[in-house]
Amino acid sequence: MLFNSVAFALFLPIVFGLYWLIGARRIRLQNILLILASFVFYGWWDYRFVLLLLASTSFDFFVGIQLGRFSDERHRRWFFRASIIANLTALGFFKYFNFFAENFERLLHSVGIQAQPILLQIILPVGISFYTFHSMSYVIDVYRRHREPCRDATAYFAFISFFPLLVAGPIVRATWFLPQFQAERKFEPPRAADGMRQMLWGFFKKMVIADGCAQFVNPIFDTWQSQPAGMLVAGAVLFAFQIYGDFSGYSDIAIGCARLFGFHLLPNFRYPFFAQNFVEFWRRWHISLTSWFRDYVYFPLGGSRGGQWQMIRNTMLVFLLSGFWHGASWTMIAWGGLHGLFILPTMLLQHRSGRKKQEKPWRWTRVPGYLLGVLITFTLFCLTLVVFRSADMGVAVAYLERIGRVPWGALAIERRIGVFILIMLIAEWFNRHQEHGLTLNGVPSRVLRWAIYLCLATLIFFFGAPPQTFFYFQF
Amino acid sequence: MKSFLLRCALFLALLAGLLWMLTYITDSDLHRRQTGPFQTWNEAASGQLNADILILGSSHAHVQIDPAGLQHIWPGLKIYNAGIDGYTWPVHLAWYRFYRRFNKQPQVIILNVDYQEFSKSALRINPLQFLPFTNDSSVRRALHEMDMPWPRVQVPFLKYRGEANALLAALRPSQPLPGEYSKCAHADGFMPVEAHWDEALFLQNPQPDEAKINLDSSVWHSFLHFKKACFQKGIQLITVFTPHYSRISALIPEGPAYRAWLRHNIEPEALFVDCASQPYSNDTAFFYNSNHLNARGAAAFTQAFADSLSLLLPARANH
Repeated sequence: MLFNSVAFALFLPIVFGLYWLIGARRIRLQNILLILASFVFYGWWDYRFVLLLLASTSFDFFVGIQLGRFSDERHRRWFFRASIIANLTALGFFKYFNFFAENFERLLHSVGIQAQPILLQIILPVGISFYTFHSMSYVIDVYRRHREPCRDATAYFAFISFFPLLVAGPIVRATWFLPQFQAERKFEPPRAADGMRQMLWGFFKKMVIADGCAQFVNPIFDTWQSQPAGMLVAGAVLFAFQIYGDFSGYSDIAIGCARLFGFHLLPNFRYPFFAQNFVEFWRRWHISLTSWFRDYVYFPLGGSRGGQWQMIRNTMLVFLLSGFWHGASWTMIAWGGLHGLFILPTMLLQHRSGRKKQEKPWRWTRVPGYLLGVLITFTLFCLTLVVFRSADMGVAVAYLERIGRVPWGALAIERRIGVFILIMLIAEWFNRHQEHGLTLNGVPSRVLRWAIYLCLATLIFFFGAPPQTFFYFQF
Repeated sequence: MKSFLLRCALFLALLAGLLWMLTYITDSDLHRRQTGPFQTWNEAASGQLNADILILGSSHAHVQIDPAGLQHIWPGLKIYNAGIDGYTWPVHLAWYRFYRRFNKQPQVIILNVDYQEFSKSALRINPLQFLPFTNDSSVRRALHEMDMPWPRVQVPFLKYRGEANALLAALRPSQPLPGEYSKCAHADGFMPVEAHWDEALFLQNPQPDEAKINLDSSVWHSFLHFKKACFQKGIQLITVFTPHYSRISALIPEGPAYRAWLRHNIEPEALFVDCASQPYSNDTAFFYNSNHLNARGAAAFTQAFADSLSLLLPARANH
């Protein structure tokens, strides 16, 4: 079920009504309702996905119990490894099997052996990368004794399958999110109202910005061979706003939706286009994934404790893995590698100076330097997105090479989409210290605030492009 | 909780009110437009069309059958071309029923039939044209058949979802609608296309959808029912198969058999005129794409069609 669908517009009020009718004190019943609702939400795509989710969740719940039961490290390690292998096998089978099969065939071909790769004709279960990472974070935390194993099956199943986060995150941690399913949730009208605002902002970013940009981006990337340089540049820039609007919009809807049910989630995006360098960018972009890789891959590998070279190795490894997580293709791996390369200079500078860059007080004299940093970061980000969006590396290189070779040409882009992007950037700039772009704390008049909400909803209604699936579902 | 729900309800009510107002403004503007497909719909709704000879069909009718070229067959009678680009019989029937709500019964209906006419329509070309007229039950039924989401058909203030261009044009009525919506047809509904053949376009896209026969039994039975009704009401129904470029005809080997089948099932209650193959069918000077004649081709075809009718109609009258 898509957030931007009529089905969800009916589904959400029904689940919301039933959830609070059950009453905050009946936690288990509320959890059971959330599980059932999540299965309906997920099964809307394909009921078989639910079976896979059930199997994966049950196994990790069982492993968690076993990790709590045994105190000797040998048994615990055995269960831990079984869980990690099971999770990665499921992920590898559904997401990466064909990639490895094709590349193995190419490798054999390069040494003169002809082979026909066995390719699976299966559809990738939506959101498998996200709920697998939820589940793995729980098992790792229990194994490390960062948290007690959960013995309440309803809480655990509700945590893994919680429908707002199920298919595209944010990737939450068991240590602080699972306890929310074991405690009483209170309905707090101001928080629920803010959740609605955040959802409205998310819908604007998804349906007006992302889907609006997609109408230009898709034809540009489909016919890049015949596009002038101006359109190719516009394609890369608009794709940056498309993917941001799509994913951060989804996160805003998910977080706002969770708030309606009394849950609190941390932001997944903190206005990444205002970042001055790539270190800052990755503290603002897909924060839940970045922190997941930092805590479960980067730190266990030693982080930056072993010196400069270890830091470079670990950073590159994390970004290559992150790219591979995004998709089973060489372009995704290259995209991750490019981000690793772009983040390293700032990391090395900070490592040498031995301190992290502190937020300095705002002064007008800092504006040119700030803008330059933002511009460079954004430009490099757009460059990586050409690789991200292209069918293969050859296309990406040819696309970029063509920008420098052909005339600029006319820009056949509607001015309207630029205006909407500007509205989004201005709103987010004024709310850059808030949780989302529609906080409106500085607007004292309630009438004016409501007028803004109504205008935004009307904009979404009339200017929302034909609904497209969320880009990140494929991950 | 109560205050939260009340605020949500108030917000939704205000939003519905605002959308209803904007929908009303858009509806009013589109009901006034006399360009693109709105021209045909609004002229029908004006109740002043009252055509004696009504031409129905797809773009094959709209851009190819010139009422002026047929005038000598029916001197003094009003001929109007109501072809709707890109759609098939269910939509043509819906339009006819809509027309009849406001206008008198025609004496003759000319319907262009092609390889797609008796298939279900897909909501592809200019779907906005239907939205101002969703208060008509036959239009609503046609939209349902074309899989338009039910809230857009049934909930009045939801129908213009995503139609920002229509709203913006309504807010600035002096502005033309974009694209196809701004084109004007002749006063008799005919819209010749002054374009030349593009070989590259043909090679790139020889319109594979057009190169196969599509027949839906429910649509066909609806047409048979209509044919019977016309016969009973004394309306002369003339069906015509318009010319196709020979290279696309070659892709449909069963074309002649299909046209023979059509003739067999359409006649004798109605007339079937087969103009699929013409002397200029392999001359690209008469076409702008594989199955549409340009203005020159339309003139030639209308002449040929009129000649056929001049022979067939008296013979039929005698019979």
